[in-house]
Parts: sequence; C-alpha cells; structure tokens
Amino acid sequence: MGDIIFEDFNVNFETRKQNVKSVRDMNLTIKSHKITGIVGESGCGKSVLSLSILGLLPDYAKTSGNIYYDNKDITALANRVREKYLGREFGYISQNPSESLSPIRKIRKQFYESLDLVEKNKAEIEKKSIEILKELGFEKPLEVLDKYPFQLSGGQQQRVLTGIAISSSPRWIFADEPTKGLDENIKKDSLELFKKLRSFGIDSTLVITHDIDFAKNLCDEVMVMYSGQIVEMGIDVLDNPKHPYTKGFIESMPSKGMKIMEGKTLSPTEDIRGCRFANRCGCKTKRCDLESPKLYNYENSQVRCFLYDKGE
Amino acid sequence: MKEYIIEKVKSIFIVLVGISLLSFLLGVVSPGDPAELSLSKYGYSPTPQEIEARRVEMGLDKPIHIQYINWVKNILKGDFGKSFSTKENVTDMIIRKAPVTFKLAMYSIVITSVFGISLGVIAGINKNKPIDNLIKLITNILFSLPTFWLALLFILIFSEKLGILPTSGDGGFKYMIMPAVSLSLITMSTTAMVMRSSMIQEFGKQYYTFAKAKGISKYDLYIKNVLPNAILPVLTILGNFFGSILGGSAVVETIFALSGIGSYAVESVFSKDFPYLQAYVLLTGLAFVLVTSLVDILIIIINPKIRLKGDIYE
Repeated sequence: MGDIIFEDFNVNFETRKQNVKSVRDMNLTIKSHKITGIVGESGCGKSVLSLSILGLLPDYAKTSGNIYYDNKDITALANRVREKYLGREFGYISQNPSESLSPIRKIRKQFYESLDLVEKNKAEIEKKSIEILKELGFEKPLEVLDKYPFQLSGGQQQRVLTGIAISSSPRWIFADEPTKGLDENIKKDSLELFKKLRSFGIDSTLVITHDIDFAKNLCDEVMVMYSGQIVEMGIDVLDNPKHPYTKGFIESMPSKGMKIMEGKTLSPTEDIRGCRFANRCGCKTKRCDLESPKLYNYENSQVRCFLYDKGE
Repeated sequence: MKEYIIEKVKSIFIVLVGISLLSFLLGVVSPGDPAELSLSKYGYSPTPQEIEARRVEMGLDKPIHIQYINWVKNILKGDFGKSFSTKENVTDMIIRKAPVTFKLAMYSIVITSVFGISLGVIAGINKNKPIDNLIKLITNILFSLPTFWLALLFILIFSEKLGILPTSGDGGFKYMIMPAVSLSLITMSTTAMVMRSSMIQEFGKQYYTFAKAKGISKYDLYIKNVLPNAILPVLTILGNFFGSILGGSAVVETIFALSGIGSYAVESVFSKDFPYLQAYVLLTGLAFVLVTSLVDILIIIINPKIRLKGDIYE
C-alpha cells in the first residue's frame, strides 16, 4: 500500500513541429515508507515524472500508460477526483521557492489555506501553523506569517513552502530541486529539514535533484534518470555507480573534479533503436546500437546497460 | 514610493501644460474672428467699430503669449469665458452638463469592469473549452462593431420594436441603460480579452502550480491566488477606459440626446463656439490624465513589494 507504480508510462509534449518525449516507457515502482531520490541532468524528465504523479502537467502534455497508487490507476480518474489527492495524499514542494508563493499575498493567507483542508477551526489553524513554523526553525513564527514572500530569504521561503506542503499531512511529499539556488550553508539546513519530514508524519518522500551529495546523504534509494529513462537504481548507486552514465555524471560534479562528459545528450525528440546513451559511452559495443537495454539486476542495483546483462 | 508620486505629479503638470497649449491654440488657429463671432446674433452683423472695441476688451490685440497667460489665469480663477452661441458663462454650462456625462461614464465603467472581468476570468479558467470559445466569439464580434451602429441597433430593438426603453432624453436610470451599454461594449470586450490572457499567463507561473498542488478549492485557487495577480494589467486599461469614456461619450450623447458636455461639444464644433470647445478639450484631457495617474499610483499601492520597500524598479 502507498507505493507508486508506473506501467508503460510515457509523457509527450507535442508541438506542430516536433514531438518531445520527456518520459519513455517508464516501468517503475517508487516504494512508500522511504526517501527516494531521482537524480539526473536538466531536461532528463525527472520533474515531469513527479508532476505526472501529481497530475499537474500542463494541458498540452500527452500521457499514455498507467500510474497506480493504492491499487488504483490514478491516470484513469476524472480530474475532479484526482485533484482530491492533492494536499491530502500528495504534497508538493516546487522548485524556485522565490517564485512559488503568490507575491502579493501574506504568508499567513497562503499557509492557512492549506491547513484549511484538515482543520476548520481558525484558532486551531493558527496554533498549528505556529507549531509547524517553530519546528521548521523559525523563532518568531507570528512575524513570518505577517510577511510577504519577498521579505523572506531563499532558505526561509523554502522552509515556508515545506511547511505549507506538510501542513495538510499528506502521505507523500514530492520535492522538486529543493537545493536549487541555495548556498552551501542553507543546503545543509535543507538536508536536515528533509530528514525531519518523518517526524511530521510524512511517510514517503520523493526528491528530485541534480545535487548528488544531497541525494547521497538523504535518500534510502536513488534512481538515475537519463533522456527519459531510469538508467540505474538501487540503495548505493551514488557510492558504487555501475552505469557508464552514472559514473560520468558523478565525475562531472564540481566536488569530484568536474570532468565534463563528452558528447551531447540525445535530443528528446529523437527515437533510436539502441541505447540512448550509446553516442557518448566509452564502453559502447555493436549491440548498443542495435538493441535497447533493459534494467538488469546486478548486485544491489538495477542497471540499464548490456555490461551487466548476465543473460538471465 | 513618495518619490514616485512626486515624479508622477511632475509629469502630470507637464502634460497639463501641453493640453492647455493645444486647447488654447485651437481657439487661435480656428477660422473666424472671435470678436466678431462673440458679437454675432441671429440676423445681426456688428459694425467694424464694435468689433474693434470688442477685440481690445477680449485682449485679442495683445501678443499671443500674453493672451495665453491671461487665458490660463482666467481658467485658474474658474473663468472659461462666454459661449459665442449662448452668451452664457462656459463654466456654468460645464457645471450643468458635466454630471450627465459623469454619470454615463460611471455606468459604462461599471458595466465594463463587472462584465469584462467576469467574462475574462471565466474564459481564462476554461481555456479552449466551449465556454471560452463562446466568450471569445462574442467579445470579438462586439469588439468590431462601431459604437454608433450599436446605439442605433439598440434603439431599433429596445425602443422601436419592444418599446421597453426610452429612445432619448435625460431622466432616470432607464434613460441611461442604452447609452451606457452601447458605450461600454467595446471596452468590455477588450477588458475581457486582456483579463483572459492575463489569467492564462498566471497559470504558467510557479506559484500557480504550487497553489494548485495544495489541494485548495477552485475558488481559493482562482479568485484568491490568481485573480489579484492577474488583475493588475487590467486595472491599468480600466483607468484608460474611464478617461477615454469620459472624453469620448460625445457620439453616444448625441445619438441619445443626452445633454452632457460631449453632445454640446459636437454642436460647438458646428457653431464655432470655441470658448466652450477649449474648455471641453482641456477638462476631458485633465480628467483622462488624472484618472490614469491615479490608477498608476493605485497599482503601486496594491503591490506590497513596492509599498514596503519603496522600490519600483526592482
């Protein structure tokens, strides 16, 4: 119960000229009671993946396949029904905290609105929001409530977003690039904040990030996404990478020497027969151009690379 | 913010000087001798001596810049001179006629705001759905119909065929319905279109996605979160409309025989009643500038970022 299961799930953004395939044939289970991280470079489809669970993709996105939650195909639900999951089952912490709050409304209104889903008594709402803000490290919660978003720093804004997302006690929290644009000190706070989510009754968390250190320190399981596919997943992926892309991605991090990977990511509009990473891969064989690899079990991980195909 | 308002007042002042110059020049370049025109009555032609005496009396023998200064001085005292045709004080005429025009403008701006904003919000929320297409169709049609034609159509339908509304004249609310509606349909359509696209633009912003993800009601999402942000550009054009309705109601006033300042302005063109025309141009210009500036300041006051930081240029 509570797992999120993708079955042959695709997301396309069709325009007159081209068809951008952001998520390709996704078959994936994101387990509940865990902190799961999806890492990958910009444009690999990781944000789209999380938005498609929430049902918040823009109108022009076309999806196919299914997403199951609590044994129900949530993609088959009417919008009206599906929206009921928001806030109650699924909480969302969007990227760019500075743009995620309405600029002309006080924090109080934007905070209470969310608590209103679970609590109708005004005094209780105030009490609860003060409690949450205190827990999130605000020393003077009442002052924060009376401020406008632009009067808070980036780190504060992110904590407010987190507070709003958890206030209606959803089972899942989806956080999109929570460390983007934050400086190193605040990143540490952010890490602590996400580790603490369990104490707020948040059962399961999915973190989308391109920050490898953040993912490594936070997540129980990490999935690496590349060009619309999961290329590697497991519990120690970032400590013990197997897929050539994961290795290259880690090495390209500033903290790991910033060795830039050669070649360009395949355009999401391009369909090819073989492996989507083959054009940049140092271990490429003939098979890589002819056949698309599946996820193969190897040690603690699943890897989308023929190097780990034991011919099972 | 204080600096902004001071700057605004300065620019209003400059614009007013410009408007006053233009309306003064209107009297200067217009054909005919003002002294002669002011003396003419039905069937009576003044003698050259009378005209010469009148010219001195009116200060027309003085250089043009002195005439302008005197004219402005008189206006500041509330004296726009005497109407050439009615020989009445122009100020008295304006005071008598302005309430009709003002009332008409108020009704029109209310219709424009209420219907324009509502239709725009409904269309924006239901983007590309049948209701949106219907609203787009209606506003596009209304937008392209000229006001005078609509006014005549209304008279034909509601007065001639159905007989439920009076064709013309001053009176109560009933007399204002057709003039106000025909005057506001184009501005209402424009308001609806701007409101719609402004709403849709907000839907692309991150705060919208975040607010939607909170699981709040549609009302909270659209009316409390999106509308206050989306309405800002609409306020600006509403300010412009109020000014232009106030000044542009001449045609409608004429068709519906409302004795506002606009319908007499049309008459004064034909009768070469320049003192009145000058006053009309100056006052409607003034009203336009004041209203649009007030709206500009209002928008600044609404925006907390500027209100609290005093920072306009981010």
